[in-house]
Amino acid sequence: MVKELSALNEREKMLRELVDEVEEPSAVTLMLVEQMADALYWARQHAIDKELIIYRGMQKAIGQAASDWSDPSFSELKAVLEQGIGSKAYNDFELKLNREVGLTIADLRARSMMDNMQLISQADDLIQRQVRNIRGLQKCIDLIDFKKRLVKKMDLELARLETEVAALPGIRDA
Amino acid sequence: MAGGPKTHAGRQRSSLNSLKHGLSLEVEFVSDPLFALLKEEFVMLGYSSMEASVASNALLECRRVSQAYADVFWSVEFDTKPLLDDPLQLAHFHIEQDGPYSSADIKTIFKMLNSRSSKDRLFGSIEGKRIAKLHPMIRYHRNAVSALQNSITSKK
Repeated sequence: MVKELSALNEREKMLRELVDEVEEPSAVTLMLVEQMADALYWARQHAIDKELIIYRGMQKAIGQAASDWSDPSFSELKAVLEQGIGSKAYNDFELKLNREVGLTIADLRARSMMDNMQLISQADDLIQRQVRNIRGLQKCIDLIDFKKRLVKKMDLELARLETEVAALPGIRDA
Repeated sequence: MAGGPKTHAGRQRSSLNSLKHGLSLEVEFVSDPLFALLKEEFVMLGYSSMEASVASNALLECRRVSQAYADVFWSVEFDTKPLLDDPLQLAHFHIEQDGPYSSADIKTIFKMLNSRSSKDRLFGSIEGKRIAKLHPMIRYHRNAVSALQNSITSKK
């Protein structure tokens, strides 16, 4: 459901959570993780914006439906919709809506989606882009992490080899 | 295939796109203090000097795009209230100046003063305006992440 993101705090929180997952932070991994946190933040923010666009369209649809009912304010409507299907506030609102303007919440939503089709489609594009960014960055982190482990493994192998070689009798010893 | 803007006004508008965030300009990050650090780490991971430079540049480019994206998002303002409700509010200019302005001038000034609010009304809300302003930036994000992925995966 729609909640206003307290921008900086939310981003910082996401970043901290992701950084905590990094076993051995380095400049490269930290920058990749920072980009991932940003992408995650934007994907969430765009989802919220998309929902708010729909809510505003729903409020407009109520205003357009001819009736004597004094339209609910945007914050009232948002509060009701955030309570979710099945809640008392939601059911009461739907009953009133049906009685006053002969519409259901689903009707309002459908009208809003039709009116704001272009913006909603653009919001979907932005969300999808951020999701793809996250996947791309994830692959980069995986590869860097794999390389790190590979480099470490090879270092260990080399150290063991060197020890073994050092332990062998050399030509000079012969 | 998209043909780009067709009208003169559309072409003029889109010609200013790149000026707003500067992302069309190619940037070399060699002088960025982080560049050397990133390059060194990539080299330690087994990348050649050239590959490490490309990867470091790509990573810093991603950060530049993210910053520009955030700047655009936070710079969006929204105002649907017209500065003037009626062109007649400008009539005193006409009278006081002994008629230096024609009615066409007054209409032009009126439109100019109210152009922002009328444009914002088309977006419907601040959320709508943000989405519309950020949508053209998708390609920069796509290119930056794709270049980064290519540069990091180039070394098998």
